[in-house]
Amino acid sequence: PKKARRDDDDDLEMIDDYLMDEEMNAYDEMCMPPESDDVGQDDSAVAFDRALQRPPLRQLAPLMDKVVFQQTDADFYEEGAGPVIRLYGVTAEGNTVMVHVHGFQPYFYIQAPPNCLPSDCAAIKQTLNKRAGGTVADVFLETKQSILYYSGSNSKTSFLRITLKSPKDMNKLANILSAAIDLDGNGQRSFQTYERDLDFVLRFMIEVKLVGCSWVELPAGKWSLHNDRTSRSQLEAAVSYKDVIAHPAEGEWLKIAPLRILSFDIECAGRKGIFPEAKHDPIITIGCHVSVYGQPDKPISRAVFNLKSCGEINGCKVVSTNEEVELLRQFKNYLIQVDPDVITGYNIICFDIPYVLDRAEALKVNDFPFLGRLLKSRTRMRDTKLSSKAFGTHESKQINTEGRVIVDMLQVVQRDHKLRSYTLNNVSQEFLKETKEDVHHSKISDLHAASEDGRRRIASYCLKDAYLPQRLMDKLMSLVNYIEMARVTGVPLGYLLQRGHMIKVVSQLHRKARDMDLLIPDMPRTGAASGPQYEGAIVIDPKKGFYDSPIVTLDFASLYPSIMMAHNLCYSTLVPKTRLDARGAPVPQLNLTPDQYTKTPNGDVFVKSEVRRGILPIILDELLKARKKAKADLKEAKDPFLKAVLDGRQLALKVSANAVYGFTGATVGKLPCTEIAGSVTAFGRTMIERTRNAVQERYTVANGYSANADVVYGDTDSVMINFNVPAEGDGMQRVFELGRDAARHVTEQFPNPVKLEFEKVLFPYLLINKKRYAGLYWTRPEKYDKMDAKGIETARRDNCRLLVEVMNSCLHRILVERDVQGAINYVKAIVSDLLQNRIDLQMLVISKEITRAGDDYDSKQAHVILAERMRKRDAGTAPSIGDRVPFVFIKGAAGAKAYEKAEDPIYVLENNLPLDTAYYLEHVLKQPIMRIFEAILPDPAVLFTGEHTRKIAISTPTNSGLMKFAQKQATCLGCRVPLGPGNNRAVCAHCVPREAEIYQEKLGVVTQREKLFNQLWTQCQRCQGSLHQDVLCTSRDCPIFYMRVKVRKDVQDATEVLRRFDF
Amino acid sequence: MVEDVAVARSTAAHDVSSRFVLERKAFQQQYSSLYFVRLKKLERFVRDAAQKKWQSEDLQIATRTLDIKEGQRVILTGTMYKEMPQKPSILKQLEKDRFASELQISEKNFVDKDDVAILEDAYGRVRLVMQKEQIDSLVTGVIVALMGSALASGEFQVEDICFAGIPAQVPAAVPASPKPKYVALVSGLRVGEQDRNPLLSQLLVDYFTGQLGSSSESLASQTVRIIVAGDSLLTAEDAGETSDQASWKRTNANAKRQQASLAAMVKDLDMMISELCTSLPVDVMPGGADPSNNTLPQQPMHRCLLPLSAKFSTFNAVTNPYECKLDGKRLLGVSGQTIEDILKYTTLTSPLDALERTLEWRHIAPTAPDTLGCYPYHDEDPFIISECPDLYFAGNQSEFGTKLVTGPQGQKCRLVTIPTFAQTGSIVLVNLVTLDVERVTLEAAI
Repeated sequence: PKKARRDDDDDLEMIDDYLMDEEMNAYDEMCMPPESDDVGQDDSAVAFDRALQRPPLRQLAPLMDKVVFQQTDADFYEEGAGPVIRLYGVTAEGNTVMVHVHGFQPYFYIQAPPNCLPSDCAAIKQTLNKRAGGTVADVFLETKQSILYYSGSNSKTSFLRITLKSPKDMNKLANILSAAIDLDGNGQRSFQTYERDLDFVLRFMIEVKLVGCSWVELPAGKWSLHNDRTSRSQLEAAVSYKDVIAHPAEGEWLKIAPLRILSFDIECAGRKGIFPEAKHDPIITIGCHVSVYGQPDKPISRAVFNLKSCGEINGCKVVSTNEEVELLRQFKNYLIQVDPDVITGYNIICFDIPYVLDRAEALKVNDFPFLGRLLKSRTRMRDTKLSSKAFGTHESKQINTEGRVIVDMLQVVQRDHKLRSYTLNNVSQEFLKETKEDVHHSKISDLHAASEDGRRRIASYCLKDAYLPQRLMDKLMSLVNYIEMARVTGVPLGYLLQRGHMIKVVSQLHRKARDMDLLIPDMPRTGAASGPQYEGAIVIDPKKGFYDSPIVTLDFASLYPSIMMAHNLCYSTLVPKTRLDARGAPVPQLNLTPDQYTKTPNGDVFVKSEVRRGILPIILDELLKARKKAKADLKEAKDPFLKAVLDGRQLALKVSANAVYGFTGATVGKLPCTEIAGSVTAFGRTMIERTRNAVQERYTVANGYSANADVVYGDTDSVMINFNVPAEGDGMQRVFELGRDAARHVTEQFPNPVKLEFEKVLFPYLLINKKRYAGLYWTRPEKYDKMDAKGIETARRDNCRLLVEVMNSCLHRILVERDVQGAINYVKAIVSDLLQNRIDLQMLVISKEITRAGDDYDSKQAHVILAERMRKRDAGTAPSIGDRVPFVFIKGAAGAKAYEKAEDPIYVLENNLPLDTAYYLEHVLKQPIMRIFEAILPDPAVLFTGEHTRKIAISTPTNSGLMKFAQKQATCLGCRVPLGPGNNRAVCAHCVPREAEIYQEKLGVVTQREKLFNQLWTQCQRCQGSLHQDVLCTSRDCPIFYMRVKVRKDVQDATEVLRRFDF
Repeated sequence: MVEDVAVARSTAAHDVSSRFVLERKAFQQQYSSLYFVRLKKLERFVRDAAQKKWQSEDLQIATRTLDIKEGQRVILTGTMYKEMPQKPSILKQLEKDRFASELQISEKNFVDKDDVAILEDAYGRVRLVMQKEQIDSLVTGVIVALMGSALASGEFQVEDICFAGIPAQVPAAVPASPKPKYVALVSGLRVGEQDRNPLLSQLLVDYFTGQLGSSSESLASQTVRIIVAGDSLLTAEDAGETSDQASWKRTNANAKRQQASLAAMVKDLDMMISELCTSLPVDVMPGGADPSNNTLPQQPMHRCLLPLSAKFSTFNAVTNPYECKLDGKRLLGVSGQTIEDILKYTTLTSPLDALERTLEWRHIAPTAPDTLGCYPYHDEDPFIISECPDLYFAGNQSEFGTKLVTGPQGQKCRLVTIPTFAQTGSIVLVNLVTLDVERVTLEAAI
C-alpha cells in the first residue's frame, strides 16, 4: 500500500517512505484477522455487510504520527514487569484503539515514624519486603498532610509513600501495617494507611490527569505498536505512562468520537406458566439495532437472528438458522463485526446478557462468551448489590466486555427518574409518548411454534424492542450526559453505572487533594448506618390553606454547596471536638482568635478561609464556576451536538456539587463527617428562619407597604411569601417587583456566595401540608406557565387511574378554572358514579410487580396472594416473578382482609363480579381528596356523605353459588316484571305501548358499545402497525386494555338484549 | 281536482339483496380477518388491472412487499394505510381527557402535511414515497397496485397507482314496456328538526300521493318506489354526543336520551311513512341519525318503531348499505356515512367524486373499520362491489350531484348524491329505463 502523498516536503518523502514501509509491514501483520487457534476467535464464519465494518485505519507510523483518541473504557492486567493499564477508545475517524500503558505502579501512604529521614527509606523497604514477600518497589519520604482536621497553621508532616509492584498486594501490605509492625526499631506499632482504598485505574487516571471519556494523545515517537496482538481493536499500541497526554475536555476536546452503539433484545420460548429459564428454554430471536453517536435516525445496521425460518423484514438483515447453537454464533459474529463501543438495551444486565451467556453455557457453545474487545478474555458475570440512600438497593451484575461499555437503559431510567413502573412499556409511554405493543412471553412460544409468519411477527416485535432503548437513550440524552458526568467527575464511563454516587466525589476529592499535598485517610468501613444522626432540614410549618393572592417563592441557589463555601466547611478546616475547650472554643495551642473561626449553629468549629481554605469549598467553587461557564457557553453554542454536550455538562456539574454534601453525610461512606453535614443543614435551617424574619420585618404596613407580608411555608431551600397583594389590576406586576426586591434584600444579609433567587410566583396556591402543595406557576406576570403540584397523587401514578384523574381534575377546576363549587360537584358526581358502578373497570385497576417468590414475602400482600390464586386457576397465564399483577378490589365476605378482596380484572369481567366500590371510596379516594379540600372546605366530609351517596348499584355475579340454584326467567325490559316461563319476549303486555321507547333505550346501549368496540380494536391495530394480523398485545399498562376486553362482552350482551325484540 | 282521474301507478319487480343483513352478531373476532378477505378478494382484480395498465413496462408483480430488492422496479399490491397525526384516536383522547370540559371532537378534515402512506400486504408493510396530492386522494383500506421501485431506505418510490376499477356488469334485462318508470330517492327528512319547515314533509307526502295536482304529477305517478336514504329523524344523537364522549369512564351508557321527544319524533315519522305507503312501496334505510345500530351495516329499523307503517305490505325497512334489483336494474346505495368519512380523510371536496372513487376502488366503505365503524366480519367483506350497479347513490350529501359513468367494458352506472331533503326540499327521480335523472324541488313557503 502506498502512503498518501504529502505535498509539503518532497525531500523528506523518501525517508518517510522508508520508515513507513518497515513499520507498515509489522503493522499489516497485526491487522490481519486474528488466527482462529483459540476459542472465541472465530470471527470470520459469516461476513456481514462490508458497510458494517469500521472505516479502514489510516496507516500510522509510531515515529511520525501521533495517535489521538477518545477513551471510553479502562482496565489493567499484570505481567511480569508489573501492572499495565489498558485504555480503550475510538479516534475521531471512528477507528478503535487500545493502548497498553506501562510503568505505572500503585502506591499508598502511611505516616512516617517520628524522626524518619530519607536515608531510612531503604531499610524500611527491606523490613516491609521481608514481611510482604518482596512486593514493595519503593519507599519515599514526602511532606504531606492529612485532610482530616485543622491542627495548626503549619501541620505538614512526613509521610512514607510506599510503591508496590502489584495492586493485588495492596491490601496484604496495608493489613500488615495497620496491624502492627516495627519499622524503625522503636517497637511494634500500627500505622494508619492513606489512599490505599483508591481504585488502581482511578489512581492512574488521577496521576496523568486523565478524566473519563476524555481525549488522549500518544505523541509521535513516544509510542510503539504492541507486538503481541491481544485485542480486536484496529490499532493496538504501547506507551509509557509518562508520555500519555490527557487533553482536558475543553474547546476542541469537547467533541465526542463517532461511538458505535448496539441496542439489542432477545426473545425466548418459555414453557407455559414459567418465566423462561436459560437452562431449559431456547432463545428464538435476537434483534439488533446499530447506530453511530450523533446520527440516531440513521441506523448503520438492523439485524435479527431467528431460530427456524422467518420471513424477510424491510430494511433489516434476517438470519435464520435451524440450530440454536448456530444462532448464538451468528449473533456473536455480528456483534464482533459491528464492534460496538456501547451496548445498550432494556434490562440487558439482569436479563438479556445473562440469558445469552447462560444459554451458551447450557448448549456448550464454548467460543461464545468472548464479547469484549480482548481476544482471550472470557465474558463472565458477577452479582453485585448497590445500596444507596438515594435509590435504594438494586441487585445488578457486573459483566466484563472490555472496551465496550454496557449502558442498560433500565438502570439509567431507574437512577435518574422516579416512575410508577419501569416496564419498557410505561417508560416509553412516559418519555416517548408512545404505547408499545406488549406480547406476553407465553404467547411468544405459541407464535414461534405456529408458522413462519408467527416467527416473523416475533422478529419484528423484537426489533422494535431493540430500537426503543436506543430511542430512549437519544431522547433522554443519556449517553452524552453520562459522558459529561465522566468528564466532570473524572471517573471512567463504566463506573458511573456500575457503582454508586460516592466514587464520583472520591475521584474529585483525590484529584484536588493531590494538588494540595493532602492525603485522604482510609476509614474503617462501618457495616450499617450507625453513627450519630443529625437533624434534617426542618421546614417552617405550613400555614395550610387556599391562597387567593400571589405567593412569591424565593429559592436559595445551590444552598448546600454555597453554605459549605460561605463558611469554609471542610475536613481540613474542622477543629475536632477533642481540641475544643469547655466553652467550645479552640484550645489555645491552636492560636486561633475568635475572628479566625466560625462556630456553626450546632457547635462545630471550622477555621475561616483566611487561615486555611478548605478543599471541599475549592472543589465546589470550581464546579459552580464551571457550571456558570458551561451555561454561558451553552447560550453561545450553535451546533446541536455541542449544545447537548454542554447541557449535559452543566447538569453533571450541578449534580456533582450537590453530591459533595451527600458524601460527607453518608454514614457508611468512604469519609463520612457528620460535623460537616450536620453544620450544613443547621446553617440551612437558620437561614430559612432569618429569611422569614427579614421578610416579615421589612414588608409591613408600618414601613409603607400596602400590607404585612407573611411567610406561609419554608422548605429545605425555599421560602414562600404572601405579600397580601391581590392579583387584580397591576397586582401581579407589583408582586414580581416585591419578589425581586426581597431576594436582593435578604441576599445582602448572608455571606457570599449564598444567594437567594426569585424565580416564580404561585397563584392561586393550595397549601395542603409539608411538601404537599399545588398552584399555578408564574415566571412572568402576564401568564402562568404550568400547574405545579408537589406530593399530590397527580404525577405519581402508583395508584389507580381514577384517583389520578380525580386529583388532576379537582386541581384543574380549583386552580385553573377557579371554580371550587365545580370541583365539589365533580367529586360528588364521581363518588355517585363509583357507588352506582358506573366507573370503567380500567380506572380502578391497581398493579404491582411480583419481585420475589410468594414465600419470601413476610406479610400477605394482595398481589402475591392473587397471583397464587390465579396459578391454581390456570398456570399457563398466571403471572410469575417479574410480572406485574393487576388487580381490583371486589366485594368479599364481611370483614374480609384487603388481600382477600383482590381479584384479576379479567376474571372480574368474565364473571361479572361486584366491585367493592365502598372500599375504593374509603381507602383509595377519600384520604387524598380530603387533603385537597381540607384547605378549602370547613367540612370536606360532605363530599363523601349525603344525597349523592344513597343510590348504589351492584352487579350480580354469574358464578356465585346461589346463582346455580336460581331459575332464570326473563323479565320485561321495561318494568322488570317476570314474563313467566318460556316467554322470552322483550316486554310485558303492560309495556307494549312503550315498546318503541324501550327498544330505543336498549338500542342506544348497543350503538354506543359498537362504536367503542370499533374505536378500541382499530386503535390496537394502529398501535401494532398491522391491519391483516390479529392484535396480540396484552399490555396491562395500556389505558384501553381492559376496556377492550370488557367491550367485547358488553357489546355482545347488549346485542342479545336487543334480539329479544325480534320474537 | 285530479282525484277522479284514476292514475294507474306503475309497478316494478323488486328483489332485495340480503348481503347486509346480520342475523346473529358475534364480537369475539377482530378486524384483521375483514382486511384479509378484502385483500384476497380484490388483489386479483388489482393485479389484472395493473398488468393491463402498465403492459408496456414489462414489470414483475412482487408477491410480497418484503421480497423487493433495492432499485428493482416492480408492481406491488396491498392495502393502503395512512398514518395521520390528526386522526382522532381513543388513546389520545384518554390521555387528554383530564377534564371533560375540554373534550370536543371537531368535525373537520384530518389531512395533515405529515401524513404518511403505507402499503401493507399479508406479510408486512412498506412506507411509500409518493406525491402529497396522491396521498391526499387516497384513504386507508383501499386495495391498490403500485408501480415503482424500492429505495435504499427501505421505502418504496411510487411512480403510478392503479385500482381494481369498475367491476363487470351483468346486462340488465330489457324492460317489457318502454314506458318510463322512476325510482325516487330522498334523504335527510330530519323529522323533528327544530327549525324544520313542517309543511315540507307534508308536501313530500302530497307529491307522491298525487294530491299536489301539478303537471309533474305524471312523474310522481310513474314512480314505482321511493327509497328514503337515511337520517329520517333528528334523533338525540346530537344531544347525546357530549355525554357519550365522556362516557368512556362510565360504563353505563347514557342511553336514556330525551326519550319523550324522541318518541314523539318517531311517531311523526311513522305517520309520514305510512301515508307514503298508502300509495307506493317505500324502502327506509337507516342513517347515522336514525334509531338503528351505529356501525355498518346498519340493520333495518325495527318494526316496533314504526308500527303504523309496518302494517303496510308496501313498507320495507332495509339495511344501510342497501342493495336491490328493481325492475331488472341493480341498485346500490348508502345513507352517506361512507362518503362523509372519505371526505374527512382526503382533500376531495365533492361527494360525487368520492362516490365515484369508491366504485373505482370496488369498495363501498374502504375506511371501515379504521375510521368508520363496522361489524367485524369473519370470512367475508360484504362491502366489496363485485358487480357494477346500474344506480349507485349516497344520501345526506352536502350537494346534489349526478354523473353517468361508463366503464372500460361499457359498464354504465348512474351515480347520484342526494342532498338533505330538510334543507333543500329535493327529491331525485331516476328513470329506471334510461337512467336519466330528474331533480324535483319542493318549496313550501310558510
